Parts: sequence; C-alpha cells; structure tokens
Amino acid sequence: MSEQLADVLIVEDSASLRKIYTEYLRVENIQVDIAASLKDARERLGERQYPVVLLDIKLPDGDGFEILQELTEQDNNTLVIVMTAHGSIGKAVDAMRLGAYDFLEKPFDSRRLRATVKSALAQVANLAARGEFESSDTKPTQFHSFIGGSDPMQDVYELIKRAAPSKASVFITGESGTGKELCAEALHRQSARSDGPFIALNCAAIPKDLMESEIFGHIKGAFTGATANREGAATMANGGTLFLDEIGEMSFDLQTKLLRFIQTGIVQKVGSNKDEVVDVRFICATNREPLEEVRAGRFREDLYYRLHVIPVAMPALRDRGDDILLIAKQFLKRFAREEAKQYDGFSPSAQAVFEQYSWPGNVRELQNVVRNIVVLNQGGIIDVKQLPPPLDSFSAQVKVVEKGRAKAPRRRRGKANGLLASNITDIRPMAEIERLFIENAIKLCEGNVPKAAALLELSPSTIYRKKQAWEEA
Amino acid sequence: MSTALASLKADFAATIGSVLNLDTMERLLEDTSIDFLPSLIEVFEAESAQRVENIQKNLAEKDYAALSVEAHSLKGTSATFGAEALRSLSEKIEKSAKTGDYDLVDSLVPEVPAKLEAVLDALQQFSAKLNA
Repeated sequence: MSEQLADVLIVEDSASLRKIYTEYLRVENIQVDIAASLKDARERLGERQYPVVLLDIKLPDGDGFEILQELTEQDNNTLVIVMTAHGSIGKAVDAMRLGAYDFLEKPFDSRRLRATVKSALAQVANLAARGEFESSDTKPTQFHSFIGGSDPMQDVYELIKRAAPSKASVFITGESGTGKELCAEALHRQSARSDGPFIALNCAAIPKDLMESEIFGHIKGAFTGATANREGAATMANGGTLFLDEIGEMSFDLQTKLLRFIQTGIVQKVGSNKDEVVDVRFICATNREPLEEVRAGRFREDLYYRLHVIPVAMPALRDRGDDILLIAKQFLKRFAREEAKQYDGFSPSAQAVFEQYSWPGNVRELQNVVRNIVVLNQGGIIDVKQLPPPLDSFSAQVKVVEKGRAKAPRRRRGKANGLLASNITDIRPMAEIERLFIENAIKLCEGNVPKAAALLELSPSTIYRKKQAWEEA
Repeated sequence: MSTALASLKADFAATIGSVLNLDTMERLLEDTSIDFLPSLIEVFEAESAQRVENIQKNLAEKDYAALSVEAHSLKGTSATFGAEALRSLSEKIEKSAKTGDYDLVDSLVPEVPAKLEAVLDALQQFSAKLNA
C-alpha cells in the first residue's frame, strides 16, 4: 500500500516468529522487511541501508554475528538489536561488545519489542539530525570534564566514544576519586541520549529501606511516611541514562528487582501494581572488585553479567604520569580565581612531590590538596613547605628517591626458570601455564584484576573471560 | 475480549492447558488480535512440520550439528505459544545433539511428532472456540 521504506529489517529464520514480530510492529506503524537467512539478510542489506536490524543469532546458514560484524566494520548508521535464546546471556554480552545497540532475550512480549525498536529508531533519527555519528574532535588533553592526556586516559576516552552510541550497559570500576561519575556523565553527553535526563543515584548514600523507593518511586500510602506519589530515578531517567554509583552497596533483595527491571524495561512503583515501560541506559560503578563480590555471594551473578557488558576501568592517578601536574595546574588556576588570589605555579621540588606521591584518594585528593594550599596561602610560587599533610612528611622521602631515580627499579622481563621444563615429560600445556601466570599475578595484586591486567599487558575483560571459562570447566 | 478469553481459559484449563500455557496464549492474543490467530497457526503448522521432517532427515544422515540447529528453532517457536512440553523436548534434543549424547537424541526424536500434533490440536481447538 504505502511506498514508505521499511524502518526495520527482521532477520529471523522462523516463519512464525517473523509473522508475530511483524504484527507487533505493524500496530505501531513500523514498516518491516524480512530475511530468513544470512544470505537473504546480505541481499537486503546490499540493496539499501536500514535504520534498525532485528537480528537472530542462530540462522540456518550461519551465525548472525557475521552480519553484526559486517555492519560494524562498514561503520554505517544501522543499529542492531540482537535476539538471543533464553538463557544465553553470554551471547548477548558478546553481541553488545561487538557493537550491538541492544538485545532481546526470547521469548519477549510485544511491549518489550516495541519499546526497544522505538528507542532504537529514535536514536537513529536523533543522531542523524545532529550528524554526530562521526566521533567529535577532542583535544588530546581534555575530554568532556576530564583533564589528562596520558595513555591510560586516552584509552578511557576512546572507550567512551565507542561505547556512547550504544545502549549497552557500562560497568565502571576504579579506586575512589578516579572520576567514575565524570565517566558516566561523559558517556551520557557523548550519546544520542544527551538531550534526555542523566540521573545519578549513589547506592551507598541512601538508607537501605528507602533505596527501592528511590529507584522505582512509590505511591501515596505505600508505607508510613509516603504522603504523596513520588517518581523514582528509573522513570525520571526515561529517555536518558540512569547511573547507579556504588552498586556494590545494594542489598541482594533489591538486586533481584533491579535485574527484573533491566530484563523487562518495566518498573512498578512501591505499593502499585501498575507497570510502566521505561527506556533507560544503565551505567553503574563500584570501587570494589565486582567479580570478587559475585564470588563472595554479595552480588548476583546474573545481574553482574547484565551490567558488566562494557567494562571501563578508571586508572589511578598515580598511574597517569604527566596528568598529575596538568590537573594540579588546572585546579590551581580555578581555585585561585575563585579565591581572588595570584599564584604562579609550583616549584620544581613541589612538582617532584606531586609526581611521586601515591595519591590514594586520587583526583579528589589532589583537588583537596590544591584547594587547601590556595586557601591557606597568599599567592606566588608554591613550594614544598606549603604542602599540607600528608604531603609535607612525604616530601622528605622524595629527595632520597630523586637521588636514586636514575636507577629506578624496572620491571624485570620474566625469566621463569622454575617453569621451564628440563625434561620432556615435564612439558605442560600452554593453557595451563597461562592460567598459572594469570592467577599468580592476580594473587600478587591482592585480587585486583585491573591492576594484574595492566601488569600482564592484557585487557581486564580478557582476564574475566578466562576466569569465567576456568570456573565453567 | 478479556472476559471471553477468561471463560475460554477456564474451559480449556483441564484439557489443552497441559499442552499450551493459556496465559502465554492470552498475552499473545492481547498483543495481536483474535483475527490474527488462524493465519499464525497456519504458518506455525507448515513451519514446524518442515522442521520435524528436517530433524528426521538429519537423524537418518547422522548430521547432529544441523539437527541441533533445527531443534533450537523448534524450541524458540514452541516457547512463543507456551507449548512447554514441546519446548523442553526440543531443548533436550538440542543439548544432547550438541554434547554428543547421540543415543539420547535417537530416543527422543521419535517423540516429537506426537508432541507437535498435540500442540497443533490444542491450537486448532482454541482458535475454533475463539472464532465461533
């Protein structure tokens, strides 16, 4: 009837399911084309570009991932929603890592399908209107609210740019004060959802009893003190991003409810039985080691896999090299302006202290130190004597370190004599040796996987994947 | 529609309720329409008959990889109708074909046609009553 081009290409080998999905979307006036196999899909996609592809993974002539990869490599504007069989969350996670926009676990109902497809179509329209599929130009030493041009931060910027357009959940880890919330904000601002709300909720700052109502809202009379209806963070974030900070603090019981919300996109206010469908991108953060929390039984494993789709590990300040002074100078400029004072920078010895101090409180600690200096002094060049504790006592050690710095201990490239077989019967499988090395590194890093990963020059996700495989074996 | 459906569900609970999950059927109908059901059943019948034929052919040719893919698809479509017995049978076949438990596959495949027949029967009865 209509000459309108289809909005969605459904790639699904089951004729019944194609028919049902088409009917679900027809009601919303969303036009679809269909493909029953990889071959069909390639033909359709060769003819034209579709805003959204609804992609089944298991197809008679191959794996749907091939199409996903081809579309990602072509770098075109198509958003892919992957459909996976019930219970195959691992596949869904792989798909998101490969660049899928979202996933649906079969069987799903019409509401879930419509909400997901509509949200994808809105994203495509929004991005196309703003012409922002190309990553925006950024100065190498500044990205959104971040300051820093070090290699670890370049990796973070790159990851944010790549992850932002997708709806995939992001799991930010990092020590306290490394900028996890700034990272979440950057992801939001870089995404097509930037016009929508960014709602941040700190799970550690809210009493456990009130947490459910904070996330999901409540209706009047739901509990003592609920004197009026109240929107929760989930509905307030509709069309935008919901950032759950310190997610490790969330009670196990509430984790179950959060999981249901993430799976269905449906929320119920406390005391209400009315379902509300919301479209939210999840970002969460913790300063704990999430996999350790899972192992200790404090964090639901299924929720972990739902959220831990794109991991971002924020580097500690001490690992950011020249960024320390760059950030210190920026803070100095800002606070001097605020306090209406004139400062001319840091003396070389003060700079040496800044560079060698371990900054356990990271950027937040640096910020406090600089503010303290600016407030308590009159101006001019800042020297070691003006540094507040604990930097003042640390500065005494710096000189010693400076003397011996030329011979700073370098990491020895491993000569793992004990592992080298001296007899042919002692030769062990590579996989076993790899496991031994990785597990030993994690142990030496006291369970800190991102740190072990950095030392092994592997990505943390590689280690998590391997650990998971060992556990399943 | 919901009151008609509710009384139908009550009527059928004892008979086809063991073959089809009537809540799933109800949701499916609410998400689409009563008129939509007969044509959907037609497509499902043709599709699943073809799948069963393929599964039997795969079994004869000992092509367990292809058999597992077919069983996977049958699992997906039967889940959509809430045909639990057929779904779990398909799942078992898919899994055992994948893990190499071929004896189990050999013994389970002959159960598929009857299970499918029961689902199709139930769907027809349900649809006939609904459109009466």
